[in-house]
Amino acid sequence: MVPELGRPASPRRSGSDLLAGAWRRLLALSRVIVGLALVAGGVVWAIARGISLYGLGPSGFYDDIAQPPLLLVLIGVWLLFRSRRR
Amino acid sequence: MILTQLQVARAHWLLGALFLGLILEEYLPRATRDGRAARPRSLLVPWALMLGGVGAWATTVFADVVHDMLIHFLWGDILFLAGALELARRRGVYERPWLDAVLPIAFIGCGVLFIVHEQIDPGGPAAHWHVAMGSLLIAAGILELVRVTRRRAALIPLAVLPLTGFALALIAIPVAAAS
Repeated sequence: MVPELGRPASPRRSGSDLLAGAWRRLLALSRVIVGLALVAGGVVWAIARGISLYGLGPSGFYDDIAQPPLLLVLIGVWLLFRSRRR
Repeated sequence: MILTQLQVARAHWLLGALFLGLILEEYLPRATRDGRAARPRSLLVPWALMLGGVGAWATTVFADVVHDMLIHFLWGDILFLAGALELARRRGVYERPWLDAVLPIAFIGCGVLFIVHEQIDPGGPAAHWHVAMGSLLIAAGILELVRVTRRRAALIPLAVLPLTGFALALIAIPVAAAS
């Protein structure tokens, strides 16, 4: 009898195990997904409604930032930053 | 000193962004080094709650209507108290089982104040917004209260949906409706 060559067979995993594993990986990526969605939403909002520019001084900078589309982008970027593995 | 309606709206948008960041930080799991999802217990959350409380108190100074002063003062009290208790717990200074209910009860309390705000000024331009936002907060608080009393360790609790809806409503509130 010829011995079978190649890699040893990996233990079989059931469909529910695969689904559970995929769900856990998706949960671990939830911050990245939500962060990207917020950035995309903010960009679409800014394109659709427009944003105002108030200048680069301290007061103007606050007025620039405190606009809903930019706030969404900021929160999205911050969430992406906080999604790093630790 | 009376703020313009645009300045009032900006304060609401900033508070909404702070709240959105706070709840996503609290309720979305983080990936650990081995790729697993784990529930974060960040110290940023209680600090953000207390910062929101200070912002609500500041409104008391700038508001030009008595019921706005009273309601924002009470919102500030609830947010600051919840933030202080959460901070004590996360630092390990004070640990009691009932502290699990602090955030849900804070959500419900703030939601009830939204409804009270609308009841005092039912004809105001923000009446519908207040009812919607108050209902979302109350729904989130009840969902969280049920979860913590049943000791269910869901990685993403259901309450994150109404809480996100509330924060997005606060960010999107029109200038004319901000009060």
